[in-house]
Amino acid sequence: MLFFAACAVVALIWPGRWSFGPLVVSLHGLKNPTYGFAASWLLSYLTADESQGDIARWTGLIRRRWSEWTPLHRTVGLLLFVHLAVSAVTVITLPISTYSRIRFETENYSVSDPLPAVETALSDPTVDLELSEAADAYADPSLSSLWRSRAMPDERNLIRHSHWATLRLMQAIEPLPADARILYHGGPECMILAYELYPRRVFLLPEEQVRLCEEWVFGREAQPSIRWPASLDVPSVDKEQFLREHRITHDLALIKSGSTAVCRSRRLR
Amino acid sequence: MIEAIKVVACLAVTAGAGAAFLRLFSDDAGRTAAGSRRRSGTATLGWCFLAGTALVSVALHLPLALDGTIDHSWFAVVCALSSLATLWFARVAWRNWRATRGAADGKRSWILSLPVVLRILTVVIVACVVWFNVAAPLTTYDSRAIYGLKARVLYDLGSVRGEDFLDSARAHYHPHYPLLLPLHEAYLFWAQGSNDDSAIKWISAAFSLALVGVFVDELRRHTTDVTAAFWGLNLLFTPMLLSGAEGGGLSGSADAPFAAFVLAAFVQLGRWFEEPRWRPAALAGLFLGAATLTKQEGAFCLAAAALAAAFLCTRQRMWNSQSVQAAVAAGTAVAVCIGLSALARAGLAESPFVPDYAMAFRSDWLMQLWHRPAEFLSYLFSQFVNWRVWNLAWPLLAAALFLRRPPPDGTVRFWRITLVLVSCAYCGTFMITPYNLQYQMSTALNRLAFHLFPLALLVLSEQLFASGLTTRIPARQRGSDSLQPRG
Repeated sequence: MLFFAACAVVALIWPGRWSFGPLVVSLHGLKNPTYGFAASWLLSYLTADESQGDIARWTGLIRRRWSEWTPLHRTVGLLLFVHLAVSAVTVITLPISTYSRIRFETENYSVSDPLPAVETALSDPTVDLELSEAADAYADPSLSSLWRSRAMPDERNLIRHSHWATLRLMQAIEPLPADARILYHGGPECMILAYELYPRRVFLLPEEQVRLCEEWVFGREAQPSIRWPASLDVPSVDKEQFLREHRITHDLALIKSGSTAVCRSRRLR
Repeated sequence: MIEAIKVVACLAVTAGAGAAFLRLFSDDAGRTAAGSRRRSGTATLGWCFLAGTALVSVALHLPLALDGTIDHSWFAVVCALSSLATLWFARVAWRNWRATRGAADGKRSWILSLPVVLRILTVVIVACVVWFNVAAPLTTYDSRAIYGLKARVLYDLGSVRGEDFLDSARAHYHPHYPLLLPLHEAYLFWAQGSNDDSAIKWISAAFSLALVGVFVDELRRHTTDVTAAFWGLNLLFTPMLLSGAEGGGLSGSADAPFAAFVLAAFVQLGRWFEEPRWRPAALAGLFLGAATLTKQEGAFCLAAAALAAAFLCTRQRMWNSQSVQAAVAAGTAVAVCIGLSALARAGLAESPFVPDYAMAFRSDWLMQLWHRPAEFLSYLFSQFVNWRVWNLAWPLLAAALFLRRPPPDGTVRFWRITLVLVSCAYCGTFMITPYNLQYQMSTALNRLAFHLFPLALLVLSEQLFASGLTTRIPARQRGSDSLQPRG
């Protein structure tokens, strides 16, 4: 147990491959040391003199119950046992998954390192910023393989569509004045942008909203044969009038094309 | 770190207000029986927190319902009243503790009923929850786009009558969404003095732990302390409850609070079938009202609870003056909550991203959906056997329901009927949803299942007790339904 505990500490502080003479131990994560620790604890418990009484009592109880139970009871009993084993795995791996999650989120949601292009973006009234990462988060090498394997499908979707785009956009426009009013052209990341940029207001043109509904909510591309009975009418709005009425000060666009995306910002007034 | 301390202190004061309310609300019969109940501080804390948050939510909705605004002085009033209630309860609890010091009342924390190894694992889990809340930023979509933006507007401007809620051109996901969570977040922003969201996830964690407390407290009425604690850990060890991912118990989404309110309401209504008095019904009404203030799915739970209660009352011939009294009490509590919410949200912009589900009942739409049941069922099966989300609780429930057992009592029948009714309503929404079904299932199925999971686990554990797989306490030996906290 002590050996595996030491391995866990080493994996936490100095992750990597460690050589002990001919023996090479890979300590890239906490998973293996944790499983090793749990297995060694179980072994020591099962072989200790003081736990023999407990073990005999439990095995006797299980044998007695097993002989009394119907086949259905036995099936449920086995399922319950597997359920408990799975729960144990969940708990044992919880510190690891918590660590991975915290590391991922603090590393990838941080906006403390602005892109070099930001300087240009701030000094020019109009600028295009290449955002090749925004289109596919998994192209970025900073995402750990551990996270990739654990991320749930909806998270991947959200990361791809909102997180990276928002992060880059924020880096590009963070120094906007607090009373900025932004007209945005892009995808579902606009909602996150509205939160992160608050108190700056983010607006969408009515036709942009309808397009977003079509693409994002109703998923027309994925189910072209299905038509929602309520028509999504595009209100006819004059853009100049919209800009005036909403006192828009900045125009911001995220234009995705294949595996690349371009962020375009424009100061209007 | 200072923000986290302020937020946790504010949540503690809210729980204190709930404890004072439950203390006052318990009747004499409850007070007498409370001594014989095997109550636990940590389990009761769950009830106190839920009652406190429900009351604070009602108080925070009041000014919004009157004129659509809420300013910082109202937050201060609510906080002062909560603090006074907490101090009163602490004084009473201190006196009672001094009076009964040394008396063995058999009240132990449910965690202390566990073997040492499980206690250590519980500590590990709580440590991980604390670690995650302290170290990880708020990153999930809903917690920022739906609740966070509203909370920032309510904290800064204190109004739902500005362009943020009324202008449909504003990038604001679902301005018409129920306001319980945004109002609580705004309240916590006020407590910490800024709209920094780094400590907001503590709300989710508090609700998740309260959920487990309520669950264990109810199970203690049906089985031994150790078995109840064991099943409480089963709930606590569920990956969905410990997940910081979208919809998870630590994500900052409204799903954990909603699940906690729904469980509390159904448990209270279940207790009403054992002792038909108006107080548990009124509490159930308060929790159901809080659920409708949290998420729109609260309407399904409300309808299911009303239908199940009416059906069982008719079947068991329970319609009398007491049941009418209880129905009036519950209905009043629900009506207050729904009325406040409706007034507060009247006239807010409808989001174009949230289609009107009434349109889904047109034949030209329904005729296009013939392929959906098979698609939905296969996805449902794949998720319910996904041990990384639910362990194996759902297959276990499916198998356990076939076990032979004595006929269930009114409480258990009520749980089962509501579980089936709400599940059917949720499945129905997937059948008719205008959203892309794959998108809807991947983003919503597990979180909707999370709403019902504690109740499902309650049904499962009771089924295993009743079928002889573990110890059960007969109904006549169960304690009163009083929620009076110690003190």
